[in-house]
Amino acid sequence: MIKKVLGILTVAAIMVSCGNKEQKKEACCDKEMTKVTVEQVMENMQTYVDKDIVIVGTVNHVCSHGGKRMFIMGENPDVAIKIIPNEEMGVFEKELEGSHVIVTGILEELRIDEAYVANLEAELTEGGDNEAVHDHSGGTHEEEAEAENEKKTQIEAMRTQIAESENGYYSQFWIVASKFEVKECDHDHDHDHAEGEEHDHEHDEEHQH
Amino acid sequence: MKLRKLNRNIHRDLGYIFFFLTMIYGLSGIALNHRDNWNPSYIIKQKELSINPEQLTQEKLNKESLIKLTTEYAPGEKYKTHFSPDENTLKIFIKDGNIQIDLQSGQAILETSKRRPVFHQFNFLHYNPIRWWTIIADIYAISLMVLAISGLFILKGKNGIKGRGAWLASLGIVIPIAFLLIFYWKIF
Repeated sequence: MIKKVLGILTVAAIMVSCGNKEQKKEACCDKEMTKVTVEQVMENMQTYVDKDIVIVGTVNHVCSHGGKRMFIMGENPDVAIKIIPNEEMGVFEKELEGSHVIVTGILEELRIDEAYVANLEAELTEGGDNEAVHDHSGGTHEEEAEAENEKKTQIEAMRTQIAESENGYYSQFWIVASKFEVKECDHDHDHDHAEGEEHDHEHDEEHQH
Repeated sequence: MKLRKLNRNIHRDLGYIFFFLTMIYGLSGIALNHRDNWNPSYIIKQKELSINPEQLTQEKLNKESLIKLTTEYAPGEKYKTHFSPDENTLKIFIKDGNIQIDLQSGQAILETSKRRPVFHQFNFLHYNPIRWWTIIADIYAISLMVLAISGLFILKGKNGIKGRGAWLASLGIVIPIAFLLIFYWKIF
């Protein structure tokens, strides 16, 4: 009996080990797929909303709070977009930071108007979390208090943005990923910058997490 | 009599089936409870570096030079890519983390993060990473309730639910109720 159990456990361990090695990697520059850059998407957000896209970029941050979010940037590091895994995909690992990735997913838009902000405020009062104001705190008490203040500030900022918008709303965008692959490239994909070039790497307010 | 035997068998078999899941959730539960004091999934180390500013002139901020710099200041680490978050800062991504460099002073922080063995895997499951795992977690949660209820009726007599069991079960009810009274309803 013990031998049978050990046998099953050994087979399971081998399967898990093989599964881990099955990393999805793609030879660089696969010409068959139509890919877009982060810059292309950011410049024409509305064109891509609710559409399947394959986007290429470099991971500049993975949320350490469970790996449910990551940001990829383009050649220009000022431009970054948030990626969220879909329910089947699992989470993003911290080791991805600095990797060139190809992400397949759907670009989603969240329109933020006064009704939305009012609901959000009520939700946050009840202790909920929301993608539009998700913070990156590690979860300590001090960080949580700080995050709470940050959320209040963000709500105020949202109201200001709504007031300043022509349509009575503004939008946040992110990609819900169904697949991602790490690109293995030998050639230079680095973000070299000319002397004196300005690099404010704060994400655009509309793409804040 | 038959009902009690069935109850005992259910309790026993669920215990066997969910032994390992209980270990996973128990251990990762403790780990996540103490996030204030440690990162339960990664071992993160930071080291201050002092880089010669002559190695950080604009013409040297290219891949080849930065690979050499990485090898010199973070031996054993592999350069991945780099970018400038702002005009005075350079961030080099390495295999296990990053090096953030102040280009003016040459002061840098080397941060490495490595997966914490066992905890990384258990926390991964605890965070409910994919939909299929949610189903397993739900089955486990229901089974825990069945285990708890069936556990009440394993023994008869003075150590059963009508004797010692009643006192201990009551203690288990009183503790969370007391916390609710104090911290939720704020009665005291």
